[in-house]
Amino acid sequence: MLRKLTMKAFKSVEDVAVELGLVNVFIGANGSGKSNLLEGLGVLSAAANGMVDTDALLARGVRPGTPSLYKTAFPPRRGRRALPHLYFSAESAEARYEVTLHNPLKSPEPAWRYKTELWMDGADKLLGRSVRQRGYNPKRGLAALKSAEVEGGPGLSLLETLQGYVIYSPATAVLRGVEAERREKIPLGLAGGNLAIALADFKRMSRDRNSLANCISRDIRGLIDWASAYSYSRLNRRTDSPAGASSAYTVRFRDRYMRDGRNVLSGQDVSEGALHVLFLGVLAAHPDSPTLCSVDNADQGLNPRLAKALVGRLCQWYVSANEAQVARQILLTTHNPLILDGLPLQDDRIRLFTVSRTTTGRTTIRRIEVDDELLARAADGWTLSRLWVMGHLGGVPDV
Amino acid sequence: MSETLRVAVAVEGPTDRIVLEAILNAMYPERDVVLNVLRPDLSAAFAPEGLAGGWGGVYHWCRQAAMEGLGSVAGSRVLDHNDILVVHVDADVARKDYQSAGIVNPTNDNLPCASPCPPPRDTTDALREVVMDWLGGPAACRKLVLCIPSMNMEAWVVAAVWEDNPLVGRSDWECRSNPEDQLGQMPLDRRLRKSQEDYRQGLPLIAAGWPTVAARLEEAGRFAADIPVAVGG
Repeated sequence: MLRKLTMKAFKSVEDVAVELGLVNVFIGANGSGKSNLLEGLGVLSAAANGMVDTDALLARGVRPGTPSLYKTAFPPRRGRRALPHLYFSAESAEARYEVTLHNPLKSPEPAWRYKTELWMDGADKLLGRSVRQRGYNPKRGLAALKSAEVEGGPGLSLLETLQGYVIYSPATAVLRGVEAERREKIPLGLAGGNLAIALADFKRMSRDRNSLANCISRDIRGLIDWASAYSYSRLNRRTDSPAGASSAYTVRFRDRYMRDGRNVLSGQDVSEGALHVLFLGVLAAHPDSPTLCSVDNADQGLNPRLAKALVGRLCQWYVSANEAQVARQILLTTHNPLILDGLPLQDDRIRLFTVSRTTTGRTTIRRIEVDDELLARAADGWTLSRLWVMGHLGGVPDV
Repeated sequence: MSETLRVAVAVEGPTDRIVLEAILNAMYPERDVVLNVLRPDLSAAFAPEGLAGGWGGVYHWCRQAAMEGLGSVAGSRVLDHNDILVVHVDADVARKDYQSAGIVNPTNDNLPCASPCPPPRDTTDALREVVMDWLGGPAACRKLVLCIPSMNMEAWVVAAVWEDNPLVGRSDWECRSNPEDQLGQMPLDRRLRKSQEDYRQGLPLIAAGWPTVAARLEEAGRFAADIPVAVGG
């Protein structure tokens, strides 16, 4: 599990360190830097995988940009020099990987150059790279190459966790199967593509009554109360809506109020909230899901009360997965206040962060912990959602 | 088409809501019924026992509704948008104390309030007073119906689905602590587990058995009598 993420000089993130839990929710005004944080982790992921170029970034859901956009452009503070490179560091309990990347502003290159790399496994240095070392391709990460020689251990585990990281931005049309997925990935594309195929695996796994998938499947049925069942199948030209489909398969929901024979809805017809619930459930349960991922705007299409209930269940799923030795960690961004009310924050593995910009525009991140002060507010009938909307927690726009 | 009946319900749990849905469907087969499930405005972060489901959740909703109604639910806006309000807690709550639901500073420390059972009525009457206290006292409105199955909702479910169960015919059926034990012993073709899924599937059976339940069980009969009064009022 990633315990700490540090990044410097990336977009609005001049210098930020975040200590992460299993489920991490980031709230903040539009433009506060939430997505920059997720994308910075995406750049680090590409670096850990050995190449930081447009393809590697797009494959992780990161918006590619020119070096002048990626590098922080704040005027330097008095007495301090602006960093000439991007800096990223990730730490697990027993390992660390850090990297600095450079790309000239005036003559940008397709791939970023590695200036330094450090890969630690406990106190053992698996790899060190400095700007003075010559003879290596500067556009190739050495840790990724070195990993071929490393047999297990926390260092390799951390690197592989980073390499597999992606940012999901589920899009309703892709979840429905009426728009093509642009970033294919197993089990789910970055916009939620291939949901029906991933659901087939999920349904197989959930047949085991003791499995996490079975538990998640029950929760999904509880959350989508109008459906008596859900499944997947090939599209049927005769019965399914005629709108153009991008996949031969679709998810199916059975409406519990309608008569048999006319009560099955395809992904094209079903409510978008149901698809987003299914997406998050399958992502949590599928064995091929990344160990570490982000979901941007995780509350999309959800009624506030459903969003609150869903995030509560999602926290249980990720805690249960890790208790069953299935490594899973997720970062979420949201604008839905009720999501906050669903977070069991007294469990240290569940964390809430506010993201704000300083008066000079720099992104800052602060963890909201449940302390005696907050509990006193709760005793007076206050909720986190109301405290957030009123601005008491930070992370709100000045409008 | 008849006018839609909008029913706001504060219930202990999701299976209780399904049973209420079955009962209302049975009582008003010709009307469209919309159930609006009420929940307290709480943060899981502040509730170590979870998101205040169970009777603790009903307590919190009642207190918040009374506050919003400037002291009593009678002043709450909940009835502007709903025809009646049903507040459900199981009678076994009468045997509990507030701490068991994580309620630290109750308005009145009036639990437990159970009396010897049978008869169930002594206990349910005492608990009705407690719930009315949660709701802001005796000024509560005529559109309010308290639903207090004794000892819990499963006594009604078993009686509805398995009416020839010999235990259901006994005078102490509404005093049994765990009527849900009988769910697993029901005839196979009617057997239910206490889950949303099973209750949803069994909803037509529960609805079909409701008239018998209302005729046989004292507290069910009271609920069946109170609902039309509130709807008519």
